[in-house]
Amino acid sequence: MRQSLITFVAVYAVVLGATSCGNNNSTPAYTPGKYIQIERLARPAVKEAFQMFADHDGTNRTAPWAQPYSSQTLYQAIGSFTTGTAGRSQAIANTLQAILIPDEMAADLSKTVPASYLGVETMGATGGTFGGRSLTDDVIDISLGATFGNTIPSVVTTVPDDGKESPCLTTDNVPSQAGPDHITPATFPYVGAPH
Amino acid sequence: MTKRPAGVLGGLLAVVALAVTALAYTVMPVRSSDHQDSPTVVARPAADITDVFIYPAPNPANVVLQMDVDPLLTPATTSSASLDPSVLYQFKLSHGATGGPEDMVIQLMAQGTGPTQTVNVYGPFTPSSPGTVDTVGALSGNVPFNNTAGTTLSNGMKVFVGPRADPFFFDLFAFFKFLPDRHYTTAGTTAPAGTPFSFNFTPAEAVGQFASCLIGNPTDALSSNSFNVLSIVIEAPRALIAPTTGSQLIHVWTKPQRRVGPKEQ
Repeated sequence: MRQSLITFVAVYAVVLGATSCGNNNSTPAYTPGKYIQIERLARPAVKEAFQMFADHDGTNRTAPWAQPYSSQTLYQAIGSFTTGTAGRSQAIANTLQAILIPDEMAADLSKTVPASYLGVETMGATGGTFGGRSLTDDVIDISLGATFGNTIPSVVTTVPDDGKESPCLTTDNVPSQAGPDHITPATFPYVGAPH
Repeated sequence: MTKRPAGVLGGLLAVVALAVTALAYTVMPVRSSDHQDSPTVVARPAADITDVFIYPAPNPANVVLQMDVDPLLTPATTSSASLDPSVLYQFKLSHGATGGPEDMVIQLMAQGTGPTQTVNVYGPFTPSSPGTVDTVGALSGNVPFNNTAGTTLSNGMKVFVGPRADPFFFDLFAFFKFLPDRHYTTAGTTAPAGTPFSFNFTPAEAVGQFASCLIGNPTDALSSNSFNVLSIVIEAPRALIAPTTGSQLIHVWTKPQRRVGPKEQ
């Protein structure tokens, strides 16, 4: 078993090394001029959950605030995945689109309570009104609960329970790894020392 | 935690799961929160953002903005990892009740390659125009790579850039089994007929509404394989990031940008 892991690490290191050779790391460090977007990220696992892999690069090259929101392929993917693959109601899909687009992570700096993923968008229903995202927020379970569980109907009174939950997809049963990840909430830089 | 199988059955499940995991890894590297999410960033891992965090600092006057890049560094590859000096790393912020175009930007750009590099920090400043093509702002300071104490700039921001344990946690292997499209090596495919649409549940967890769920060993792919990332951590005075009166809502996203020019990939 341990040998398998060692083998894996060795193989992966080779793969990663080969990939890294294609980098442009040897180019001069600084050239005044223009820079073009090749990736973007705010909320976790939105592209990954809802959007086909082939469409990620297109999303990565656009501004999250591009109007109208309905023209964004990510917006469309949230709708089609939620009503199609996940089999949820249109009302739940509409709510997810309204929460997740534009894909910008909201935080309320007037609040001194701990961070809580989607806390601004849900007015504290996910744990607090600061929003943002802490190092230990279980963003996967929050996202899965909203997509496959009863989170939205239970929080948004105007969205009826569609009775189409998929309980086996509402949690990955993996809790925060604050210990193994060496997270130090009281000491800068907070995210843990490398393995 | 109690979310692990116990006893002989649990031990057997753990062995089987780990063997399957190791096998899967040898043929397909992993992607998760936003790890390896397009061919462009797979080819340029130091420009691949894995996660974004915003949280209050222990000092209540401060807030922390964090961007992680360069997924799946192993302990062996971590020591040589560094930011890509041809990439402009950016935090973009929009202020007000709802999200919108950026009205504030913080940028970082590495000088040199390898762990001896230093990193220039620009801003926060107001961009001349929002969008996907950007220019570099006013220099706020320069910080050494991997200074764990942080480097405090004259504008009050304390900055760290360097390798850290990847804090993201997720049972990726279960996810890719029923949504193989989301992995770049199996993009465009669907799960074989009969694949359970379920994450792994221990016998103790597979009760009640979860009684029909897949019995397995839930595993965090990141910490269980000791994966690291490069973290960009900025602890900033809240007053530098948001107004001190009225709405103090910020809407944040991150993006790496490559230099525009004939030599670019």
